[in-house]
Amino acid sequence: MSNEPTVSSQHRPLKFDEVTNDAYGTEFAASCEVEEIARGVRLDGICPRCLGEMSHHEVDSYVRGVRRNATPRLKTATQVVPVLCTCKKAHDGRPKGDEGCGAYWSVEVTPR
Amino acid sequence: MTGYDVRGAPSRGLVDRTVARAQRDLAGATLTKLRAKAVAWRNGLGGLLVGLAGFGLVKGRTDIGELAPGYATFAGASLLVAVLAGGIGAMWILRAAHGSLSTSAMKDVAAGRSRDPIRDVDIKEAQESARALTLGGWAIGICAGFLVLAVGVTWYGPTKDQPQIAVTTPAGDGCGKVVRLREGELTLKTSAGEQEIVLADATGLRVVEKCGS
Repeated sequence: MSNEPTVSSQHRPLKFDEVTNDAYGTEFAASCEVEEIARGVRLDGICPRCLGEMSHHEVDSYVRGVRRNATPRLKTATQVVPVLCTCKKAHDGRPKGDEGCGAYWSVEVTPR
Repeated sequence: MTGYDVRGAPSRGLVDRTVARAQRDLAGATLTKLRAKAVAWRNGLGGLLVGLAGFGLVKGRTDIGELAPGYATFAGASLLVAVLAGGIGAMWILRAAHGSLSTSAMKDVAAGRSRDPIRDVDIKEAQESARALTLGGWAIGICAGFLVLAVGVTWYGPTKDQPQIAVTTPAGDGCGKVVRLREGELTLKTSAGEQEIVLADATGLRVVEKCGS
């Protein structure tokens, strides 16, 4: 698996809009690469709406102490993960403090 | 590294966006919240140790040299463990509250595939800080426990044996603790019971740590 970022198509500076579409999940999955991080995984891919490169951090727990044999759920079982566009490019109408183009979708992540 | 398969799933509508956004915001705020939590723990545990030090106001035996040899060693070892655990715990909690003293390699961030490396770093740091906080809490607990144990043993442990007296007389020797001395007659508490010796008959008198030595 390469460490080079997947090359994105041209980013589309669409107006910010909270929209979804069942095809978004499939399109994102086609570009998605998964990397394990502390207590979860990171999904790197391309937003199916604005084509911006983005990463989604799916973390099993946010504040956790030491539990020696605790394995994050994502590493052991299939999980449906809601994802939203987090591309860093500008989108008109984006509320302050938000990010991405507003698109959201779901993907199913299964450990092999 | 374990591999993963990713495929599209039906969207549940706005609830998915709400959940994804909440997760994103929580992940982003975790480090800040954890630091605040660690500072609160640092202050609380520091207060606990100061409170334990306040035990000094209640007077008990203060010199472990007065304890029986085995108990003195135990009290000393307990104090040593308390000091070590307290020092290690303080380092862990300071690490959780204020971050590590070491630096991270910038190349680790640049070489990754992530489009949000700052969040990667924050999540990793939050995880390591949470671990440090938990370990620090346990270490301070161990420190407090051994401190209480050391003070308790020092206060209530048995004293070491008092010196004894060995007396030599023409009729035989006597050795034991002094019970009384009255009208030139010394009463010793020996292993065989009380023994009375007329001091005027004594030809030798010496202090011994233990009779028979």
